[in-house]
Amino acid sequence: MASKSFREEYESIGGFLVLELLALVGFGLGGVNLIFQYAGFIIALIATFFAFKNFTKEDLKPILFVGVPLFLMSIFTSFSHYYDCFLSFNILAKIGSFLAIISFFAVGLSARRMQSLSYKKVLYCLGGGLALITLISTIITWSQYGLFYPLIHKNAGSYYYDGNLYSILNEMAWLNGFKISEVSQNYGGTFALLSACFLPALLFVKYKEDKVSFIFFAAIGGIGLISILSIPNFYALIVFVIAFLAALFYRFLRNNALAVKILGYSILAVAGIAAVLIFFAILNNSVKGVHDAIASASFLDRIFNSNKIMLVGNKVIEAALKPFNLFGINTAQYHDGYIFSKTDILTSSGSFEIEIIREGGIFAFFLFLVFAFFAYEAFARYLKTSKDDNYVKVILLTFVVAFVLYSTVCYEIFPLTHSETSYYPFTQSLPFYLVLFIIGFIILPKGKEEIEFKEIKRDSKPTNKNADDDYSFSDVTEEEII
Amino acid sequence: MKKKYLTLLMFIPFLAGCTKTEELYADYAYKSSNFMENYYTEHNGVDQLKVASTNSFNLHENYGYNSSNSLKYVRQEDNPEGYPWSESVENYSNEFGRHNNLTSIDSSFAYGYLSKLYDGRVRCEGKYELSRVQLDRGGYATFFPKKLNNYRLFAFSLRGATDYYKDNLPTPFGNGTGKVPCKIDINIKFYKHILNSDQYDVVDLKLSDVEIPADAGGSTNLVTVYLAEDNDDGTRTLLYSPITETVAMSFDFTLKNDIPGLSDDSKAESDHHFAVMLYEVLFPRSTWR
Repeated sequence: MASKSFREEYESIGGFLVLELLALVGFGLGGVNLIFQYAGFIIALIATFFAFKNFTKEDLKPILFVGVPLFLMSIFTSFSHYYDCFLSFNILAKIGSFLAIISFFAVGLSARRMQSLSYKKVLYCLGGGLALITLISTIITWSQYGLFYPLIHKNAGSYYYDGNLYSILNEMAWLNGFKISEVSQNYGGTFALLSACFLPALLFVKYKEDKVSFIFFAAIGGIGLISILSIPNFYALIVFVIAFLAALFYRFLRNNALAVKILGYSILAVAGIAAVLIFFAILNNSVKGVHDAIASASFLDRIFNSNKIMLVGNKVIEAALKPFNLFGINTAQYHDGYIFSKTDILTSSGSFEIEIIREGGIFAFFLFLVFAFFAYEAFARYLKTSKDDNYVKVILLTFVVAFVLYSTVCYEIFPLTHSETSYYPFTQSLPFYLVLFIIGFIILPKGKEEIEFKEIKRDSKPTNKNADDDYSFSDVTEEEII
Repeated sequence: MKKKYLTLLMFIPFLAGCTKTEELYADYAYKSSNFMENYYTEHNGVDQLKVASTNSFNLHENYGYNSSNSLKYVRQEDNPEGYPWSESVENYSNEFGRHNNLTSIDSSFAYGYLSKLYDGRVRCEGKYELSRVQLDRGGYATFFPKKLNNYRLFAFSLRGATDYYKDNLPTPFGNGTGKVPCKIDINIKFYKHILNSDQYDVVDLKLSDVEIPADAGGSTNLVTVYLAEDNDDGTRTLLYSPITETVAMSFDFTLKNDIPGLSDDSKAESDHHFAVMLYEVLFPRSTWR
């Protein structure tokens, strides 16, 4: 028996660190993101070291297509003017933010190419961490607010804390490090929703064939869904239903050429409409004639001006177009102190797209669009060509779809309801890091070698043998890759 | 096995202790534009307590007012902090409340409607109804979340207010200039629980002729109370024991200005009504257990 190399011998340690990172990210350690940012960087270095030999030259192109815009966007968002008036956002925090975005993406890339990591372990840890923090926080919420409290106290939901008036209708309890905090339901709902995204895996995993996976995914998803329903969080529920429909589509219609074609055109149409909306949203804030025309038409006014997102969004876009704000909005121009408060331009828009403009400036947003385009292309290719089990694909698909949709309408920059200074940037949010991990994880080599790409041997038992599964479990060993 | 799971599920409703929903209000509660809807008249069960004994002390601005009782308040020139009896909050600087408020001393004071009295806002600070408790002559009463262990002084900030402005009529208190203060008698009771009983001893502090601004653009006064005892040798000893061990307090008042058509009783039929706007109750450097 040939002696193992250093990489082979200690790769499992790197794999363990990756799993640990994924499991703990959801906990957030009371908002001490800096620890995760630097830990993510160190683990990315370790994971890359162990996975390095499994990267091929065919990997380079797709990684660069997705990675370069992400890298540039992270520079804009991390070293932006926006944080200049934050006491807590010193140079270490800025570097940490930059490293984290790149690192979680790199950890995802490496995790796929590490021999010691199986899909199941990755999913168990990813979902287990989210489900555990959701479960604990949901039980605390039940004990402090009761079940269905936004409905029960709909007409009298205000309470006083430290002399200020708050409403329980939009808040819930959360395990924040080692203490319990009141957070917005939008924030807590993110974790519950992402946990619930493990439920669609049951469309492919059968109890008799793989009891452990079935129970794990049912538990993780069930906890998320129960949390959403027991509050209830309607936005999270609607997004979950949409994500579940996406999973159903993948389960039953992915081989139907007509359905796939219709979906493709639909996505293209949505992307086109989004591009037009973005274009006119910019014009609305930069050309007075366009602004007046939009304002005079009630339907257009409702889309571009008079809705929750654009009320703040317009202020952000208008500010972002000013020369001194091109690299992130310089909050010192709008705020005279070091203490953040929920006023004017710093009000939460609820939309992560607006937050990217606010945090990194208009260039960061365009770079994000480029990143999103190539990430979408990589994801579509992954769904089409990867030999991963279908339950893996459907979990990752619903996870990303749910995150994008939910963060478009419910992203909360002030998650702690009792604190006006606990600003939570989108590009430093832990769920965003997990999505970056997934984007890295699904990038496959491109070119004619694509169909020859073979998975590293992972779980010993295939879990998906149902008749609908076109892609059989790959049992190819690492030697075959080399 | 299934029964076990069912039992566990049955516990879910019992988890609903609902500590956060114990004291909820409608969104408009106590911050109505209608003056009469903002009166806080709750006594939170304190008025139902069984009182074993009441020890009353009359306090007055003039030192030695209550000669029949050795307990006195201390004048500005004699008290250790140099705070006057009743003085405009502005003279203390805004930091006074922020540094001495009860919530910063003990976080258990942060919960509930009356947390407005413990948050350090000793004046309006642009928060209007959100920073004050509007009282009629019946006042309010409440239990403290903990028992007072020791303290340095007792203080509260307040001003007077009327609903004259709703009719665009000039206020009787100096036409809104604050130059003519309103005068009230304040009655503050501290309740001390008697161990191994369901009864309470009451310390009743009567503050006479306290002058405070009213309808004067939010000007607010801070009243500071030190208690002292005269020694035989002519020296004076500050006293803390009368208020320590307190678990509850009540606050009521009587308007001394006799103004026709103005009543300090929110339930009385009257053209106009008076209220004390209580902003803060302070026990600087106190400890609670």
